[in-house]
Amino acid sequence: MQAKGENQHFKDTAVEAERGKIFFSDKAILATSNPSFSLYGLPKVITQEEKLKMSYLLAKIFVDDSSQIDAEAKNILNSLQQDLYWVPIKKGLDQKTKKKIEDLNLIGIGFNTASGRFYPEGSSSAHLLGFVGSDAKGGQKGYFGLEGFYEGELKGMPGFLRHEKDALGLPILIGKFLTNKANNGKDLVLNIDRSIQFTVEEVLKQGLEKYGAKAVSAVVMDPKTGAILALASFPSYDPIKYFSFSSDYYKNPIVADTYEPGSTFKVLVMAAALNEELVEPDTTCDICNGPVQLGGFAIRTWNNKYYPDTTMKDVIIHSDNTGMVFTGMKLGLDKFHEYLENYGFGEPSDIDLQDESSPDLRPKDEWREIDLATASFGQGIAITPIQMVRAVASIANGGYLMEPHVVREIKDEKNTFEIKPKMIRQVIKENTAKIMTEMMVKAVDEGEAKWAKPKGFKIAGKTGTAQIPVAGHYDPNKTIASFVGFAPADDPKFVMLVLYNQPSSSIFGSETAAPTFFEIAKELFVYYKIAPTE
Amino acid sequence: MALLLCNCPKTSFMTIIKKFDPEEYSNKFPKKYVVFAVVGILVLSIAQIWVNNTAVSYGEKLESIAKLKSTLEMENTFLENEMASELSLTNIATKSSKLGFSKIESIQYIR
Repeated sequence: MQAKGENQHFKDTAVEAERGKIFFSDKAILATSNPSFSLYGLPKVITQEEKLKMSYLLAKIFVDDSSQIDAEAKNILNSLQQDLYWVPIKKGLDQKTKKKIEDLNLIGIGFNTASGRFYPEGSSSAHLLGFVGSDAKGGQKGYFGLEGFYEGELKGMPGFLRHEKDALGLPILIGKFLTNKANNGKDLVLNIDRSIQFTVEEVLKQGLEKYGAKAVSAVVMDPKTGAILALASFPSYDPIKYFSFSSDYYKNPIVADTYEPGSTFKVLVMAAALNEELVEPDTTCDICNGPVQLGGFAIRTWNNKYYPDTTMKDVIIHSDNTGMVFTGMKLGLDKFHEYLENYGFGEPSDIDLQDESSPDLRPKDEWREIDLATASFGQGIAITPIQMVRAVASIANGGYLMEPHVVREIKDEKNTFEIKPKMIRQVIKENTAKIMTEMMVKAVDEGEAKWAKPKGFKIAGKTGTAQIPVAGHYDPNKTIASFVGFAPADDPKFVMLVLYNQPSSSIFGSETAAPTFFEIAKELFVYYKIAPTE
Repeated sequence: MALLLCNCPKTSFMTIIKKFDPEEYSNKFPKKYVVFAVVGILVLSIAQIWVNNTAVSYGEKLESIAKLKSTLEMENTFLENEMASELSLTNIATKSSKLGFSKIESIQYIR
């Protein structure tokens, strides 16, 4: 009885917590909340004549195409004809449409307010953001990307307001009030630079079409801090209409997909061998005069050209598989495996994005000689693009493995929590990093992709063309074409990885991923005000 | 107060001397305070009744203020979002190409 009495005497109102906003590094909005309205009707209140008139008036507002007005009006009328007290008419109306409807002064209709996500940049950064859908109770919940990873921070805590009401249901000014304030979600300020993100997306979209690839991805990172400056993949989806896309699109290929890195991996193996002082840039290869026979397999170079007594420097320039077998053998399985672990392979990079995958490293006792040989040129080993880019960043920054981070600050109404750069470990010595950088600069200047390089800039990089394993064998026509590099080589502002999945115009990284890398790099030089030095 | 009997002849009359104690007199609560208190309580009671009656009728106004606050907050959000849309790079890129701006093709560096 007491409870019933209280129910009649008090009015409880739920106070929704506003979902946190997501900002680019320059504080421009990437994702925010936006109220929308749902129109409902009260069929028992509206007369038959009014229903007919109302249907046409509303249809004219909802539909731009005049030929569709009749059909829309019929739909509305059907809703209003139901023998119900309350019927939904239209969802997701914006404020302008609501105002138009209100100006009609119609009786028997009303609006409910709902909150949705709003993306000023449209479908940009979809893989980075993830999307906001519904949970089991119909509330908002973030899935994938930042929305999923930072769900706890972004969602906030709803509150409620209880106040005494009079007979008309109006609040009594001197009545009892009980408030539990809603805590709005925290805002995220990203490391993502919107100019770089925009540039990367534009160039990738063009590249996908130009090279007829199935998919393309790129990630740009500050090698000194691990800050992710841009991250994009295509084909993509629209986070506001995520339900219209296949769930295959939701995964972020940069963190969730695994691939065989191919020749881009050579720089890591070579850096390991240099670091252990097992080889030097001028060390000559004594097995590089032809295909290397190992465990019943013949290991060839990508173009079947062989360079007897080639140096390690030239092994990288020519992307010589036999030279890398030589380097891998010099390193030995124990050291090879140790460096793989030190570069961060076999463990998540701990990037702050949901759905990161981390393929396991094969246990050391399961490696055969041929596995070591193929892994030394990046075949037969699975990694994620984010693992690759942060491993190469360790060459760019003097040998340190950094933890990649998309978010720079988490802010609430009172406090700001800054996410500081985190160094995991030193993988190679500073001097090794310098030597390896010079070898990568030579690879760009004299390698297969030299034709696409912007003149005058010192860029360190390496192409990669990895065949895709299909049903137990490698398909020679299906490749992952990639290019990884950093610039300016002496004081890198960015490290970048570009990946094409099954490009059709050319299967090679030097003819697809490298030009895309250089095109983005050219824009970044202008953006960072970097002048050519050569 | 004390009654004193005098040792007088029979014909003489008994005299009653009333002794007033000044302390007893000072303990007495002045009537005017009582009057003030009663009047005060009366005024406050009337004021409370008036405030109650007046305040209760403000419920409608309170409700409308709450609605206005909510509407203004919503409009503020809409305006913020509209600004963000206008300032988005996607929008700027579209508008700039319409206005005839194009990408820099060749940069001359001055040494």
